[in-house]
Parts: sequence; C-alpha cells; structure tokens
Amino acid sequence: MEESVPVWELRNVTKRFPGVVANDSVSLSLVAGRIHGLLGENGCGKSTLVKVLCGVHQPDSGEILCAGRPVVLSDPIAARRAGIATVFQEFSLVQTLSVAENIYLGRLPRNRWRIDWPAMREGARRVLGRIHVAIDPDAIVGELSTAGQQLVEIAKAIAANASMIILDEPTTALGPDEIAELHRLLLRLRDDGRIILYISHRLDEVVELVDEATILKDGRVVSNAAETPVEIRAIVRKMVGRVDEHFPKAANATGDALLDVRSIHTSNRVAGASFTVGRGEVFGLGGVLGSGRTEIARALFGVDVLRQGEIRLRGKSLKLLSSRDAIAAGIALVPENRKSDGLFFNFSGLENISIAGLGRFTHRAMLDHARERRLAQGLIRSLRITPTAGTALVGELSGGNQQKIVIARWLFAQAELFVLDEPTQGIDVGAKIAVYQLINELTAAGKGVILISSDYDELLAMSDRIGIVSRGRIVAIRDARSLDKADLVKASADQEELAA
Amino acid sequence: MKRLVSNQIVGPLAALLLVAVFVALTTNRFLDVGNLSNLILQVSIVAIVAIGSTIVIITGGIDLSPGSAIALMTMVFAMAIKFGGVPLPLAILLVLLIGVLLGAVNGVLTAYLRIPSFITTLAALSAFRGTAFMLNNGSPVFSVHPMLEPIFYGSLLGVPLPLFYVVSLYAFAFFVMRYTAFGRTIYAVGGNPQAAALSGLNVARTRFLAFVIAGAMAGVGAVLMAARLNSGSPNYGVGMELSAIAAAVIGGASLAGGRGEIVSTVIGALTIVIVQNALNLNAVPASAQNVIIGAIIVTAVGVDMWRAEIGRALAFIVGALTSPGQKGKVDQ
Repeated sequence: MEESVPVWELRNVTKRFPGVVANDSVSLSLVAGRIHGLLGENGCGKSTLVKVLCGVHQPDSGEILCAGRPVVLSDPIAARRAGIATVFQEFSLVQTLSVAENIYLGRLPRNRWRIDWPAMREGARRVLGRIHVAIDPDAIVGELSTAGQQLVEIAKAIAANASMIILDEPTTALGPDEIAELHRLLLRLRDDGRIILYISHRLDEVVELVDEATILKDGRVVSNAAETPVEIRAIVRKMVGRVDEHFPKAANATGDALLDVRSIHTSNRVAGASFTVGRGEVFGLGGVLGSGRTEIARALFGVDVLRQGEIRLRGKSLKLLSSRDAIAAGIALVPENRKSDGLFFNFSGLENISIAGLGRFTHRAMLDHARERRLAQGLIRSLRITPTAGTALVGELSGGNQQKIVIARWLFAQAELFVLDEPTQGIDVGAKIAVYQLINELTAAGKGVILISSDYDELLAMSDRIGIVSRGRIVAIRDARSLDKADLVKASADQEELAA
Repeated sequence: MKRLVSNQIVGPLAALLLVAVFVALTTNRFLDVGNLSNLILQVSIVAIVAIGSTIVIITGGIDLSPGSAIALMTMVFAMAIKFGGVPLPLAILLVLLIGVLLGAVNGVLTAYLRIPSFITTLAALSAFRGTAFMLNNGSPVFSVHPMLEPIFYGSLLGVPLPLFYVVSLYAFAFFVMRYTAFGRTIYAVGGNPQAAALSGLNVARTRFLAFVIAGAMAGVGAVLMAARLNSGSPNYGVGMELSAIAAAVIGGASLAGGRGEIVSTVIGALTIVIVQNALNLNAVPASAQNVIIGAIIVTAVGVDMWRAEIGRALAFIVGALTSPGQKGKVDQ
C-alpha cells in the first residue's frame, strides 16, 4: 500500500479575499505517479488553489504537508525549492534567451566566474532527451511555437527536479497533435513517479488523461479523488450541482426587434455571424474559449471594424468605426476584465458611473456637478449599490459593487443594448444574484441584453435564447429552456471538433 | 461642493506652510516686502510652465521639453522684434502660436504615433535647444524692446504683474480641470486609458491636447523669460522642465497618471522657490541647493506614498505614549 501514501497533502486550506471565500476548507491528497485532475467552473477556486500551491497566495488557515511534514510555501521561490513547478498559460520564459539558458535560468552552471556553456548545453540536451523532446538547446525560445515553449517550460521543471508539476489550462493554445504529444509526455512523467496536477476545462481531454480528479464548486471540494468517477456525464453532474433557484430569471422578452446582426465578418475571428436580439430579451452566446464569443462583442462595440455584413439597431443600419460610434448608437459593453478595461481607480464610484455620459450633465461647456450627483445617486439607489460609492474611490468597494457600477455607467449613458461579457466573473454568490436581478431590470425596461458567460448554469438560466458560437459563427440558436447543461457542453465541444 | 478643496491639497499645503514658517524663523530678511515680491517673480515662470507639465502628467505622460522650447521661443521672439521689426503684441501672439505648434509636435508623436512621451519629449528637449542654437549663430539677442521689461517687472496697484498672470492662468486651469468635460476626460485617460476608450472617450485627442496646452504654457513662459532679461538666448530654461515636474510631483501628481490637482502644483512650485530663496539668503552654494531640492522631492513623494503607514506609525507612537500602563502589560 506504499503507493497510496500522499507526497503532497492540503488539509482544510481556506483562502479569503474581500467579499469572497475563494477556497473553503479544501483538502487534497496528491500521490506520486498519478495524474490528478482539478476540475470546476470559472470562479470555483481552482486558480486560487494553484496560487496557494505555487507560493503566490498564503492560506488564511489550514496546512500544506509534504511527505507528512507541514511546509510553508512563503513565496514562489520557496515553492520551487520544495519541488513544485507550475506551468501557467503565460509562460515564465525569457523570450530572447536560448532553450538551454531558460532551462537553467537562475542557476546557470559555472566554472569559477564564467558560465560553463558546454555543461549547460549538455545538461539541457540530457533533460530534453529524457522527456523525449526534440528541441535544439540553442534555439531561441521566442522563435518556438507555443507548444514548443510549453515543452521547454516542462523541461525546466524536470531539470529543477520538481516532484510535482502543475499545468493550468495547458491545451488552450494547442492543436490536436500537440495535445496528444503533451499527453504522452505527461504519461511518461507520471510513470517516472512524478505528480501531475492537471487543470483544464476541456473535459474530453481530462477523462482521457487523468487517473483521478477533484471537483471544486464555489470554493469547496464537492467530490474528492475517491468519489469522482472519471467519466464526463458524472463529472458534469457534480460540477453543476443543483441548478436551484439562485437564478431569478424574469421573462421579459417581447417580439419587438432591437438588434439585427447579418452575417458579419471581422479580421479578428468573426466569420459570418448572424443573430437577432429583441427588446427585453437576453440572448446568450455559448461556446468554448476562443470560439469567437468575445470577438462578436468587440465587433458590436466598434472595437473591431466590420469587413462584411451589417449591424442594424432599431431598424437603422450602423457604421461602427470606433466604440464612440457604438456608444452614440446606444450600445454598451461591460467588458470581461472589469479591473483593466472597466474601472477608473482614480475616480469615486459616482464618477465611474457618469464617465460615459458626460454630455448628460454638461451645460454650456460646463459640468453640472449637482445634476451629475442627482442622476448617479438615483442609479446607486435603484441598483442597490452601496451608498458609500457616492464618495469612496471605486477600488475600496467590493467586486459586486464594482460590477454594478460598470453596468450603471451604461444606464447613465442611456444605452439600449447591453453586451455583458462574463458579468459575474470573480464576484461572490450574493453579488451574482444582484447582477441577475439587474439583468431582469434591464429587460423589464425594454433593453436588449447579450450575455456571454463561461458559466453554463448562468447562461442557461438567464438567457431566453442561446446561440452556440464556433469558429466565429453562430452554428445553432436554441430556446434556452430546451437545453440542459450537458447539451451545451457537448454542443460546443462537438462543434469545435466538427470545425477542426 | 465639499470637493472644492480636495484632500489631495492638504499634504502639500502643510509642507509649504512648514517650510515657510521654518524659513521665516531662521532668516530675518525672508518676510521683507522686497523679498516676497522677488519670490513671486522667481516662482512665476516655473509655476506657469508647471500647469502644462501637471496636465500632461495627469494624462499619464511626461513632458521633458518646455525648458528647451522656452530657449527656442525667446530666440524667435527676440529676433522677430529686433531684426524683423515685428510689433511687440504681434510677436507675443506669434510666440504663443509657436508654443502651441511645438506642443502639437510632441502631441502628434505621442498620442497618434504612440511613441512613449518620455522618448518624444526627450528628443524634443534635444532638438528644440539645438534649433535655438542654430538661430543667430547661437548668439543671444540683447536689448530687444524698451517696452518688454515692464511686462515682467511692472505692477498694478502695487501688485507685481506676474502674480496676475499666475493667478489668472491657474484659475483658468483649475476651472477647466474641475468644471469641464475635457478636464474630467483628462483624469479618465490618465486613470485607465483602456477603460476610457471603452467608455467612448477620445484618448488620443485628449493626450494630444494636453501637449498642446503644455506648449502654450511654455510659450507664455518664454515671453516672460524674454521680458525678464529683455533678451533671447539659446541658454535660457535649462532644467526648467525638471523644476516644473518637481513642482507637480511635490504637489501630489502621480507619474502613473490620473492623480493630481492643478492648485497643488503652484504650492509645489512655491515650496521649491522658498527653499531656494532661503538657501540664497543664507548664502548656501547652488550645488548644495540642488542636493537639498532633490531631497525634498524624494521626501514629498515618499510621504505621499507611505501616508497610511506613517499615519499608523504615528498613531501607534501616540497611543504608546498616552497609555503607558497598558503598554507595560503588553510587554509582559
């Protein structure tokens, strides 16, 4: 029974952020010679757990044990030294250096004070050979393909003698052959006695590769390695949990046409998308990452200019050359990344609300601060945003309040069509419900909503109709009530396969 | 209305008062009327140039060129009047126009061609002064116009004219930054350019106009500089850009963009000039003065950055001093 003794163990690890419990008493046992899948939807706490393991975050409580002894991973260097190597989606490679230099970065072999180039090259060749990777140690990393760079990253982990290798969404940028090669490599490393912690949203890949899996939901373990059958349907059921009443969907769709998108093309992934959105309707866009969902939103918002096709709003054909044109036409975008693309951290909540509608309180070239305050305070009250938003800098508010502020901005600017890109990412359940209620209020007021979400429960529950996006086109439009989550996961995956 | 005097101004103002009181107590001539009006003359040009520097800094950029731009413009100004026979009012207009033009060059390169402003204005710093030296074979032009000096040294109702220029330009800049959509847009662009673009604001035009304003302010600075010395010279304004940036930074503007108060900048400029004045009165050599100014810049920004921590430390010390009994228990 030697083999079942865990090398690395997490016991009741809890990590809180303001307003969110990202990891709630998570326990995990990692056994040598196994590939362990870490599964769950966006916002379930996977990334936080990975960051705890690689020393970026410190747990608020709970402990991490290595071979039975508690260890403190105080920073990424300590984690590396303890034998944990992490391959993130963004690689930690120096693009301008050679493969060999990258593999030995930070501990270049020397003789006296000179770098021992022959020893370094030889060592790199040996490591690459051991994992059967045919890459020239002298190649410049920046000139390798994404897949090649990933292999170098793994080689770097092996050279540093890592006992555990964490891979965070390693296949998003890889083709099918490259994925197969990566999987063969991971199996070899497993047989070599290393621990692989594998994180991916592509369940088809996961069930093929992993030996066992832990499923997280809302920061908690809902199914540990012993309880998880490695089978797609069962995993989806556990990931979904109960689809209960925390989606307060109101049906406000009217038959009145608002938006009519006709076979649009852009030079950024959108290739012939067509759909309509009615007043009071939530039109969901489903599809995997990279399917073109976000790019359709960019086209609607004038960020990517149309090469072909037509966008009609309220029966009028729009010519969108910039987001200014889109805003003037009444289109609003709530961007996926609220911190980098949405918020002004030098402004109060109130100034964040008014910034897209300066014209509404400009009188004879002068800002009417009283009017600004009156209009914005009205929104703060009606959207139940915390009253401190009136004066406090937006960075001091919770994620849920911040998201409501970004939506309030477009109500202030009197938009008609709201494109919401991952509107509930990174906010807690209570705030999510508040955002859902806000969506209901938008539709009740006759606005149109386009909802983009990787959270399929949310997409199914909050949409009236769902368009499945693949390769920049809408390949199917269905009534949201006629779909269940497994259909949606499967439909998106099948479409990707068909297209591939 | 509670924001009319924002709390960003409190720190710099406290620092200025502290410096002024200290100087008044340690040097007996500081509060002389003559010295005070001399102070206003000294601070006026830097303070006006610093309006432009502050606005550029709030948009998230930096302007290293106004010192050189001033040198170039004093030369054009002096030569236009003395050799070209251009009437004085027209020459002033011409210089302001050139200021706008030089700012527009920085603006086009930075905002539309997206070359970082540190680079474009560093290039301008070199090129503008180079151009100034190409004029009149690099020789200064003296005794430009008999009516020129009164522009700088004149006074109205006993108040030196430069005070009027400074007050009116700052009042105008304050109004623009606080009460116009353009001012709000400047803060938004500096705070988060991506979000500004996605909120429908014209990021490039805003950045461009910030440099145009900075150029115009340098133009005003050039007229005053030429008036002060009744001459034009390619050697004028050396280091002016750094004093202007220092004024903005001591006034609390953040080089990361989005933060800064126009009124705080004049306080920053005054602080620098008062320190210089005090050091002059005490006959401290210029080299040591530069070291002291450097120390003030670092201290001002450091105090601003670590404000919360310093406050906590002070509270802790005060707490420890006022409740010695409790502190003793904790120690045990």
